[in-house]
Parts: sequence; C-alpha cells; structure tokens
Amino acid sequence: MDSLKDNFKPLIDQFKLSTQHILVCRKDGIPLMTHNIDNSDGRGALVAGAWQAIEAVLESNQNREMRLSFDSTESGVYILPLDEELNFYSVMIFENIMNPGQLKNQFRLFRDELRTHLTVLAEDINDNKVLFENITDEEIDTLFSF
Amino acid sequence: MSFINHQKKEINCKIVYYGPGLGGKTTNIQYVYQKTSGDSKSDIVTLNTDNERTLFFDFLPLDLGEIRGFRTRFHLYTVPGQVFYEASRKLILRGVDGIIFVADSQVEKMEANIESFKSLENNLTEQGYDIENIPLVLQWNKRDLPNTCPEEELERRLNKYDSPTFSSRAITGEGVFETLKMMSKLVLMNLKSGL
Repeated sequence: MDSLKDNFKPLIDQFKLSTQHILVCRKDGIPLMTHNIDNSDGRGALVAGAWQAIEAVLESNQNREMRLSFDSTESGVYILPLDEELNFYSVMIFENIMNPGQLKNQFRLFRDELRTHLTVLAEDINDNKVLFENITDEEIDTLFSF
Repeated sequence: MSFINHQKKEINCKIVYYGPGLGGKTTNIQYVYQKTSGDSKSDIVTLNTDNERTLFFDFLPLDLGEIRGFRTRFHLYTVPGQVFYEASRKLILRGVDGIIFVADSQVEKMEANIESFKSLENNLTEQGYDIENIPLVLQWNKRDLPNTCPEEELERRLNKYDSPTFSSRAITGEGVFETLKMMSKLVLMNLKSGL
C-alpha cells in the first residue's frame, strides 16, 4: 500500500495529469487515493457501480484491457481497471480538454506505471486473523455518539 | 470486503439494506443521514427513477468515531426493492460485509418479504457467500401500521438463521439506530485483520 500511495502523486506529475481529477478505488467503491476530487466516497461508489453494471450488460467477465469512457469531444470520465483481477479501478474526470485522446493515452501510461506498485496491496488483503475479539455495547454506543 | 489500513488506523466496511420494494430501506438511511452531524456527515448519493423509487442504489458514507484506536467508516447502501431490478441487487451485494433485511410488517406484504429473502439467499450463494457466515440483522418495519403481522409470525417465516431482529418505524427513526448498531457490532467482530 505504501508503495502505491508513495508513487501516486509523483506519477501524476510525471504524466502531466496534475490538472485532472483522478481517483483510485476498490471494486466495492471504497476510494484509496484521490487527486483534485471532493466527495470521493460517492464517486467511488458510482464508478464501481457503473463498471459492474456495464459488465452485467455484456454478460461476460472482462479482462484488464477493457476501458469505460463516457465523454464528449472535450469532457467526460474515463475508467480503467488497475489490476488483472479487476479489484481496483483508476478513474480520470476531465473537462474542457482540446485533445482527449492524447490525455487518455497519458492516463493509460499512468495506470500502467501505477499497476507495477500493486503487488504489496494485493498480498496485504489476504490476512485472515480476526481484528477484534470482543466489542461491548458501550463501545458501539461511543462509536455512534455523533 | 472490508478494508483495514493499519498504518492510518482506518476501517472501511460495506453494509447493504435489502428487502422488498417500499419496505423502508431508503427511509432507514435517510434517517441516519438526518441524524448525523458535523464531521460524520457526507453527501447521500441517490439514483432514483422519476417517481422517487430507487433505481440503482442509495449510498451514504458514514464516518463514525474511533474504536480501539481505529477510525471507522461504514458505507451504507440500499438495493432497489422492485422485483424488476434483480441484476442491480446482485451487483450491490458484491463485497458486502453485513446485511440488514428490512421487512414490511403489513400482512399483505408477507409474500413480498419471503420472495425478497429468497432472492437475497440466491444472490449471496451465486456470489460465493454463505448466508450463515455473514452478519445479518432483520428489521420488522412499519410496526405502527394497523394491519401488521404478529412479530412471532415474521420470526417464524423469515428468520431462518436465528438472526438478531428489531422492530422499527423507520419514518420516525424508531429502531433505525438500534438495528444499525447491532449490525456494526457484528461486522466489526467479523473483521479480518488484513492491512
């Protein structure tokens, strides 16, 4: 996870994407990293939902080369899977761009580079120990004391 | 599929409200939204049809306090209740950590409750979940209406896995947080430790 996060911002700069809106989220919609994006929780949920809805429309398991684009000639959203198992999505929202094709190509290169830092994250998810042995009602009440 | 970040001391969990159409799933999370405040409050995302029925899902990210040093975030989803939207319900169950089944207590809704519960069982099985091993809480909603089934009958016909149950009137908030707190406790105690 550190490797992915440590390299996120430098890669955005390296691929000249710093003025775009970028999100990396899990397939259940939980955002992992954002750049220039507010309400990343809501966006993550919608991105994951949109991707999986399109998969369902196609009625097939897609591979990592699939991409989802909803755009005009200058603005839109572009979603790419980050890993082969489709556990993570990388998303770019762009506005008023003269050459979206070139920008998308940059984003694909950014995604490819970011993907090389995914190994640690994939391994980390497979730990099966229980985190909390017992939780009391008082602890839950405290959790909900808005 | 919960997400635990040990370095940031952060837990993310996905909870889905499931149940028949017009049973009160959206009302539950709207009440939670109304009652949360300050830093806990995020925007609620709703994808509705023209007549205010849930089309794809409602979504509410809920930032809670800390438990044993971990900042806790719950992502609350509702599924569309109408029978027509079975494909959407399947999608929304992906990665779920816990399910709140909102049953409509009205006598004439019993068959819809049973049908929806069967759909939940089937959809979980299709996605590789074992319903007996996933946190599940049942909520008997609309207990204020005059034509409700006795709770014993709801228990007998719907509570096949001996899950915790709560009576509610989601429209007034009665039972809403009690249900969510129980679900939260079950989910947190079911968490695996991953990074």
